[in-house]
Amino acid sequence: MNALPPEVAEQIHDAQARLLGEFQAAWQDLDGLLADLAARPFPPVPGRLEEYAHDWLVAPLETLRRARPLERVLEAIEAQNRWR
Amino acid sequence: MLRTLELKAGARYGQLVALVAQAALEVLTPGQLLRRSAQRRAAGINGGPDPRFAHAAWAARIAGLRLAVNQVLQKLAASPPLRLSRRPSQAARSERLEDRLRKRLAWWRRLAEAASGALALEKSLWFAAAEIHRLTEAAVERVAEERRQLLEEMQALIAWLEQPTSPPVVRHTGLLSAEERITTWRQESEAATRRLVPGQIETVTRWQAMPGWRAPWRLLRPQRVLLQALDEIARPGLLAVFREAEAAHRAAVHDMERVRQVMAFSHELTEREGESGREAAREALANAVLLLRHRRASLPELRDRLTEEGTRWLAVAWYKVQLELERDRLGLLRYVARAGFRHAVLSGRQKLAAGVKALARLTIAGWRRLTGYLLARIGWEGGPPRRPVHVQRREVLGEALGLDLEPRGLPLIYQRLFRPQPVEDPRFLVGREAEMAAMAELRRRWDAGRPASALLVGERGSGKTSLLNCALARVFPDVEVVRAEFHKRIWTADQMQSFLREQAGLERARRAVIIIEELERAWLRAIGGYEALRVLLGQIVLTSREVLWIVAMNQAAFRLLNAALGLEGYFSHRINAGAVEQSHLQEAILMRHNLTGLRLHYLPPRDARATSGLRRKLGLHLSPEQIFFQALYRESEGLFRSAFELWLKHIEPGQEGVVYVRPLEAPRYESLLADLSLEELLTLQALLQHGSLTAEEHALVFGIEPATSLDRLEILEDRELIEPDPGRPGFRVRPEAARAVRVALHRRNLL
Repeated sequence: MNALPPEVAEQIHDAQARLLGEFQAAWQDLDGLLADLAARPFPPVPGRLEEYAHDWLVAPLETLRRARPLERVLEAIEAQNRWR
Repeated sequence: MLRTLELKAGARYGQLVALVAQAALEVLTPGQLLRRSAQRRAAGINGGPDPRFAHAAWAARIAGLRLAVNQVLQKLAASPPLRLSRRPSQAARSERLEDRLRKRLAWWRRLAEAASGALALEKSLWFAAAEIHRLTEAAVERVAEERRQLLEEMQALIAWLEQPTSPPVVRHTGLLSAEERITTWRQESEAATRRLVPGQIETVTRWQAMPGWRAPWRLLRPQRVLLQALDEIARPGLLAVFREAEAAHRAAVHDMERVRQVMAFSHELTEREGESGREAAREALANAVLLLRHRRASLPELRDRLTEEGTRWLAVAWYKVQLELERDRLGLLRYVARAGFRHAVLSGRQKLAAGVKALARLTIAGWRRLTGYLLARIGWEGGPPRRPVHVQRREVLGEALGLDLEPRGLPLIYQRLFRPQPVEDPRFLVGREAEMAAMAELRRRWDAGRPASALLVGERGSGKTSLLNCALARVFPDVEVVRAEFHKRIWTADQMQSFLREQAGLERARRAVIIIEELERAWLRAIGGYEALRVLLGQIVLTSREVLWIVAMNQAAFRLLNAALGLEGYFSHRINAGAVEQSHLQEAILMRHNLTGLRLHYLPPRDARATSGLRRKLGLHLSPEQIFFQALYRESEGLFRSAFELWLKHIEPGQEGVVYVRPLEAPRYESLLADLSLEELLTLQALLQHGSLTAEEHALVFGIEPATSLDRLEILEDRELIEPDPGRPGFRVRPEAARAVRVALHRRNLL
């Protein structure tokens, strides 16, 4: 096995760091949403569907849609492939 | 080298994609838990997991996912050794490695799409639920609007009844049937479902990081599942409550229609009968006001109930949708394992054990009864002790029927409408379409110059005279009609010739319809007792081109005279105006009742078996009204007059325009019929055949002394089986006893 030239090795390290950074950012957004949901008081006896649907379903889904964590992870992998 | 690095890191990427996808789906979990819990409550399903425990389990799962993601990220962060291979890469190998990388990427994309599809599905189901809920509320609102219109119309009608000079109230409430409502709801819900819910999505059963030989993909068809649940659960539930509303609204419309008929009838009555009619009309109108007020006050406000039921059935349907989708996503075996297979087995085992115990108890009790009976039969054991009978007396009909046979004070309008007189107004003629058609055919034949004559046969009180009255009004309004009847029994040739001369005016040659009723009074079952009939039949044959003869007689007399004289052969038509169907009998009674403006309340029968227990469970139970009319039909044998008399004897006027109908229990004729002597039975047979008999005629028929005949007749009168014939000399079989008498005669082969 031969060692890589230092400038190539640095480029590879940078690319991997970018990828990892993107992964971490995507996960942090998703984790933040989950943490926010977990921090809310959970109603012991729910009333009608309309009363909680917005807070517990529609709004979190909208946040998730904006955050796009899964799409960002995939896009980062695809970008890495292209860079290679 | 980079390719190799990518391939080595691929497993970590796959893990991360799967973990992030799972974590994204966990965003739905709290909402799903709340929704499931709310739907269980709305659907009235008790038990189920406590959502707070499920919430705690969710939090634990999130913590696990967080840990796993952080571990993957740490491994990815560790710097891999960056060394170049000594061997240059071959083209074929490099192509293979590229292909592996492409496949992996496609796999992860598919995982991500499955997660996105599940998220989008949840949202679309929510929108569909909200839309279908809105459609259901709109349907309920339409029911409430119909009720509001009915109340307005009823109020206007009450005002009109109180001020008859004001302009009449026109019908303006159009009713929608439950089927129409449910069809609209179904079409709208189906359109909303097709618009909002995807036809199919792909989901995964296992979050597999790398492509493998076992495919984790599973296809869900949420649109189909939802449509099926709405159709199988929500639609029947809603239909049931819509039917309830329809029944209540139809009853209101029916009452308004009745009130209009009462008004028209009252008007006719006043015009036709003057002061006496006016009194009955006033009573009917007062009843009509009470009827409408009662209906208005009792028209149920079903909006809340409809909303509640609608919400409940929709919740049940949604609950089923979620369960079905969960089952489809996981596969049946995993679903059963998760849904508590163990619990299901235990519960099934308990139910089976309870069933076996109940069956064993029944078998033991049945076996004991059977062995007891068999041992008693062979004399091994004594039978149940018999109670000594100290006094024995002969039963009378009233006791057998459980009835007070004396007439009670009924409202004037009731007496007027149910008076035992033949119908003259064709609108009261029910169930005689075929007979009227035969009359019309008879007329055509006679008009064509062909011999035409009809023998009208039917039990006494079956409506022969009513049929003739209506036929005269409809079929023979433009011809001369002679109606003749026998005021006393005749049986000699001279008597008949004189009757035809005086009553039918046969000496004058002319074209006319001659109607002779109660032919059973023109003979006597004695030597020489058929002469009068022979003269009449001869006249019919001689004159049947000019004169249209219509002769009516009862069934018992016809049977005997047809056998003795071949009666049928003398007539071109024989019209059987016998028993009618139950529905016609019911219609005839309720048509009259409806014109009284009174409300009916059927009291339940004493025999609870007819209305409850197993019958109810099997859906075979009958309403008190159905039970009453079945019994009435059976006891009256489909004869109008008997049915009317039984009806009048079973109704009881109440307060506030209500009439109670007492149950008509199946009478126990056994002891009444068991001790009828042969002489008594033969007397009853002769009475049926002759319509009625005086003591003298009875004496001639049986060749005994008139005093003995009178004794026999009076004994039967004491037992309430016969009564003096109203309007004619002699005794007749009581209408209430007709069935009992016929049963007794059949048993002895005398009828």
